[in-house]
Amino acid sequence: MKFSIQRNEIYEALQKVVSVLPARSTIPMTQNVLFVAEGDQLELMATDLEITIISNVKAAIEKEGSVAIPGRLIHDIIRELPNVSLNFDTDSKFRTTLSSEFGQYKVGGENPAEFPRKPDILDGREIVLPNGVLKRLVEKTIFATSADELRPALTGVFFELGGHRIRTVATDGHRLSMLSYVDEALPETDLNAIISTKALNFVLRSLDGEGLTSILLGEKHAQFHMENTLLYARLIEENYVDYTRVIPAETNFRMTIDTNDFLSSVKRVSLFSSPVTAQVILSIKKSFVTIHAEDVDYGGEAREEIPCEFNGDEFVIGFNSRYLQNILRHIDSQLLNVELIRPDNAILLLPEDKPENEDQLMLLMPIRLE
Amino acid sequence: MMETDDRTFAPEAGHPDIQHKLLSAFRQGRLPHAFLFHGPEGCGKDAFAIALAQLLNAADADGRIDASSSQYEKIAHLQHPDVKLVFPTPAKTNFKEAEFMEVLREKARNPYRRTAFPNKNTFIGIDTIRELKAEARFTLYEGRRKVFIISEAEQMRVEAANALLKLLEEPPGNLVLILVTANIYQILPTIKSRCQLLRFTPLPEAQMHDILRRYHPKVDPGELSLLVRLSGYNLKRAFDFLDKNVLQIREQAIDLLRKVVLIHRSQELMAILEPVAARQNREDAQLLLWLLLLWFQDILHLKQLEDASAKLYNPDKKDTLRKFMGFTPNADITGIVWDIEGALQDLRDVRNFNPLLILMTLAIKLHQKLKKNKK
Repeated sequence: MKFSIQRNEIYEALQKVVSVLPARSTIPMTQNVLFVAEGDQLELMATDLEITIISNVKAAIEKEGSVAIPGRLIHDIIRELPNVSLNFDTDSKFRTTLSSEFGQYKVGGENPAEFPRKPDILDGREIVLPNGVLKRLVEKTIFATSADELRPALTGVFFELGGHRIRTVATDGHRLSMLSYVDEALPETDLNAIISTKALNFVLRSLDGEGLTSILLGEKHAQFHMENTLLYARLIEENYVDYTRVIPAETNFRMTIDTNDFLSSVKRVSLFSSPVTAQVILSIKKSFVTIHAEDVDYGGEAREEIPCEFNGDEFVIGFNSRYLQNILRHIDSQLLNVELIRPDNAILLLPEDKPENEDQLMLLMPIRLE
Repeated sequence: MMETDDRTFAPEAGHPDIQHKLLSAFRQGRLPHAFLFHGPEGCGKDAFAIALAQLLNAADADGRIDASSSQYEKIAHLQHPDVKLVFPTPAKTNFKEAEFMEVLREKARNPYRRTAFPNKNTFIGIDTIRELKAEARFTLYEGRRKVFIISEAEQMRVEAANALLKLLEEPPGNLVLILVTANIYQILPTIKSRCQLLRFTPLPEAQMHDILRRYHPKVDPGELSLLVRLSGYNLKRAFDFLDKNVLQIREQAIDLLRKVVLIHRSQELMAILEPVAARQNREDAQLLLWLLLLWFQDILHLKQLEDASAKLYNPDKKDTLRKFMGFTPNADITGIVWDIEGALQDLRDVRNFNPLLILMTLAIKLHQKLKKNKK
């Protein structure tokens, strides 16, 4: 393999891929970045086996070929170089020489045949989403995922496609967050995937405001195609829980409240809640709700009243304030509808106004009050 | 009707009877999802587990492995994304990443080797098992079956073993777990009962010889044969011996024995034993005791068998052995063997006994038992 390229160009591509290099790994090969020179393109690939990133850049290729080179080392040396022309030359033993006008650097490479294979998505289905929509689909759900290793399915975000709609769902058993987006261009047939939070956080980081992202969903991997970069996420191989069963079809009461006022009030009051239970109690009346927290052990107590509209008489219900705050933070609408059944049933939080074609639903389990 | 299957899938991995069993189960698609490979140390269990991973990922439905495939190569070099080998390591704070990589690379180069971190306490912690569980969530990367090999599984901490239970109980369909141990009695019964047990026996002498030659083609064949015997038919130990000058240590051991018989003053004994015990690592002291053990086992053989040559661990020292026997005609050899084994146990004990004291006690016992007078 032999090619030359400007430092800034390869550095930009390299930066994108080295971010996935694992700190430690039981597969030594994953410490390397795979260089593939073909046609007029240089392809860089790095993987931690959960996420694989491939970045392409134009290069003047003299001899096609490939090699796996220690990723951090090659990144660090290129970082320290100014924008000059760099020449790469690999011999038959995969020893690679990087030369510039400053001098020569030799690095022992590895056989590219032993590098993890580029994920191939055979009969994948492609969907295209505006970046803003994808960002919301992920951001509004990812916070509700579980960290419990005993329930692997819940450690990721569930992508559910079908009927010209894409829906993302995340839950940890205490709360659930769901966002749907409808578009005629989306496939009609059903297709599901669970994508790990680590991969989705990478996707979030690489999403620019404008533009479109194409997602290819396969059996084993999901591919996110962003500008000059391909990100492959290995899917979680589990059946997702039947989340529809926990969403009540009918509710008895509805409270309408200003989201920001509600959140600020809960934030202030919960500072005085018991650190163990983090419990806040809502006493909802016709025209206002009292938010109350008490730390019996240390004598702290807080009480606030904020206006609301409620179609019942009186309703008392308690929550873990951390979960409640988390949910409220992910609601953009100015007005929020809270649907209630009984103090020991889950509540639904539904934003009053939402972007076109979108539907958002959050569910939160209450704390049983003594 | 099933034809009887006497093919093997990896001839160089040995243990043909186990290979037959596994191969016919494989061809019927009835391999269990969890194995416990047990049997004495150094009979090629890790290498066999790697060969089984190759069968699962690089063979056709009939069990013929394609040794030229990239899948085969990747597994052989421990570079396959779906095949993981874990082994005991020191605590995370106690070793460097580079050290770990070096050990892993050595194991990939030669799967019969010990994964050794000199002078460090090693174990399989819960973090390691959690990493495996995190990995188990995902779909296959590029292979057909995920294979997790847990080498020296008896070194799993209790909490690590318990964390593994869940995975053993409800493994994802594409996962095969292989636990490997030389000490099945240290494996929790809850784990044992969830695995298919396969018992391995030491490899035949000729095959051990071949394996050693594969990695050390330049060593003299006569010396290799002697090493095989001195290792007690333990490949791991035989590879260790190739790094050390074991024959010289054996001379030391014999020399020590002579002195133990002759010396009467304990100070002089101390002077001989101190340098052995003072060395940082206990392995040297263990090696010395191991060689002594073989020495006395040979004496037992010579005493009890008409023609013991085939059994001797020290075939080159037959004359010296006979001379030694003549010198100590009434020695209580069985008692001595017990004593040495006890001392070896004490040296390995996690309670960290003082090696000098162990050696001193042993030397005093040996002195008495060797010099035992006629009644």
